[in-house]
Amino acid sequence: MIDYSVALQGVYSVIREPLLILLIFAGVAMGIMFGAVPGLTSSMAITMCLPLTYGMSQTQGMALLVALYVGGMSGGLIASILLNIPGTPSAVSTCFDGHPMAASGKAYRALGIGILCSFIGTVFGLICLFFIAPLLAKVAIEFGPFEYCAIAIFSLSLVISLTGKDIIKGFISVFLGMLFGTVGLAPIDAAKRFTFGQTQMNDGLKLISILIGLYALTEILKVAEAVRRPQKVIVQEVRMRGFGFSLKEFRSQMFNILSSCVIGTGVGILPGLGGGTAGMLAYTFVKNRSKYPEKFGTGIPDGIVASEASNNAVIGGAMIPLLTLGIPGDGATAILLGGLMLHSISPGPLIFTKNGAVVYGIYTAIFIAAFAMLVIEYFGMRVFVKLLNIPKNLLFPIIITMSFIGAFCISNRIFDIWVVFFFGIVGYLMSKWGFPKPPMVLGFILGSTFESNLRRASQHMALDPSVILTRPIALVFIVITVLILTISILNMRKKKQTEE
Amino acid sequence: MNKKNLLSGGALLLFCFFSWVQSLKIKVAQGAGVSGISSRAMPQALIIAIAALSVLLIAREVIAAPAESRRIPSFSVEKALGACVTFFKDNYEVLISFGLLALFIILLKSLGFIAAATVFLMSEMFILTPIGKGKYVKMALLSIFCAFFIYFLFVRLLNVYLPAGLAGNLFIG
Repeated sequence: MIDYSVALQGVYSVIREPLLILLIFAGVAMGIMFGAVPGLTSSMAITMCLPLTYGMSQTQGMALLVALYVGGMSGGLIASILLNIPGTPSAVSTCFDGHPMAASGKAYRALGIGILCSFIGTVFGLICLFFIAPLLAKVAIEFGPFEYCAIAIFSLSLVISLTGKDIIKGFISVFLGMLFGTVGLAPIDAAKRFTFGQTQMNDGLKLISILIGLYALTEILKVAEAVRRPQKVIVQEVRMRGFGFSLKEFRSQMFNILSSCVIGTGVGILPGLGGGTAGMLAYTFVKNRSKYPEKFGTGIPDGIVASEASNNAVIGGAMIPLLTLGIPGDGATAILLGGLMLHSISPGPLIFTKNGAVVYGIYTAIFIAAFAMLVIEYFGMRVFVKLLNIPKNLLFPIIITMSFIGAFCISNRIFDIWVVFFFGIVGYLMSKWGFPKPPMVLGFILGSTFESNLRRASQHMALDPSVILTRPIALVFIVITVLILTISILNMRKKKQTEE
Repeated sequence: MNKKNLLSGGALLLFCFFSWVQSLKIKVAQGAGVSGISSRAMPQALIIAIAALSVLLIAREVIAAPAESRRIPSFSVEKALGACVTFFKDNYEVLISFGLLALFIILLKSLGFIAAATVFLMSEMFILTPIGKGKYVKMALLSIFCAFFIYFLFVRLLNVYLPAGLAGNLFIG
């Protein structure tokens, strides 16, 4: 039950201070810069600015931190679209259609669509947060090892849509990603796996290092390959009015936007999955129900819509378990939890009673941050697209240097940069041998979730094998997975027969 | 026959063999509370799956190939050396880029960020520029400026730790 008087108090505490609104704009701008540079993330931006909030009030401190979160989540689309290098893990799926659209001369359109969908996704997540946070938190708390395992299997089954034409290579890619995810200490019993006696490997491989290696290094190597070839000059279309969508097109994308927002919010509520998973799930969902799935990956708006709407909807979703249960939904909210503790805000069921005004102040800050993100990125489009005018032989080495810093900053270790180098080799070989990279990323993200929950579930089942029958949510996901796999295989056979 | 698929299948099988040997070193927990799936189970299941798919990949190419192309090609040292030279001639920019990336990481620890970044930026820009089309002095100045600017931005403004080296300590402190 929403106490509207407390809500109004919270809203007023933010909007009455022009300096606070300026702080939110500054936070969003900084978040966008961090999100745009491959290797730097909103988590890093929040970590750096956390000490700055010591002297601020509760509302001011949290407003700055959520502004960084919103900006960082959205900023990743800039590098994804313009350079084919995901700025953040959440923006991996934006590369699939964002970059081909930019490469065909429609960079403004791609950015405009991404920016608008980011805004819509953030606002959708915020609406869910505002109205149904406690209800969704109750559902989230029902998720145990069986449910997480079932969701991981369901998500991995969708990899069929990401495998491209060669399903064998797609599955090799996903299993390789899952295998790389086993490096380090095993869940539950902390057995060392593939550490080669190096203590640095006990912590496992980092997703950021893998993404920089697979995408950023591969791009610079593609530029190196093409040095002696005549360079194709891409003339960018003159900047369109608005966001690159006509109203008719926007209406035709409504279902894609809404479904992606729902997926993003749903994934955000479940700790450990994050924006990368949300983006890929939404992308595969939209692709599977599309009338023209063969066009995905060629630069169509649907792909950008799915990715950006879902990864920004994760923001609201991830805040739900954070505020109502004290459980962070992703990496950035884990640091936001630190921010809440720092400002003496105790997350949990009583947060609305003890710190109601601050909570509604946070909601207001998220809305203003979403608006700030829209404005800054919309007017910044002209500057962003100018990046494409910088010769690649000058731009890419600088980007790689900054990406290396991003990898180094994770744990201040040279080892993480060597991981980037290793995955640069892996990514280059995958490109040459025709292996798709997105399934590897999805396998890496979901593999550890799948294994740890599978092992926990197997411990429960060792005591009572019939316990799975008491987990209806898990059973539903397993049934849906089997159905999806069956339909996909039948469709593929049908398509092959038609082609023959 | 797609030679890339044969090569990738073979490389993956070698990788699986190596990974399998490493997986045997994983200690399996004993004692109370242990049940079902061990720490070794998942990695080994994945290795078997990758190996099976790699065999399928190779088999697919061999089965689909015309009968006359299925025979094992003759090997000679001259042919192999010739192939290596051709490979290097066609891809030297890529190979040198790999080398420069590795050099950057090695120099980062020993010389510090500014020196390592300057060397890397200058060399990589040179490699990525078609011969005769680059303004090499401008590239050198840009490399030095970027190295210092990035170091200043991250270390002084954002309080991020980067290995300083001599240049960092002398010029920025």
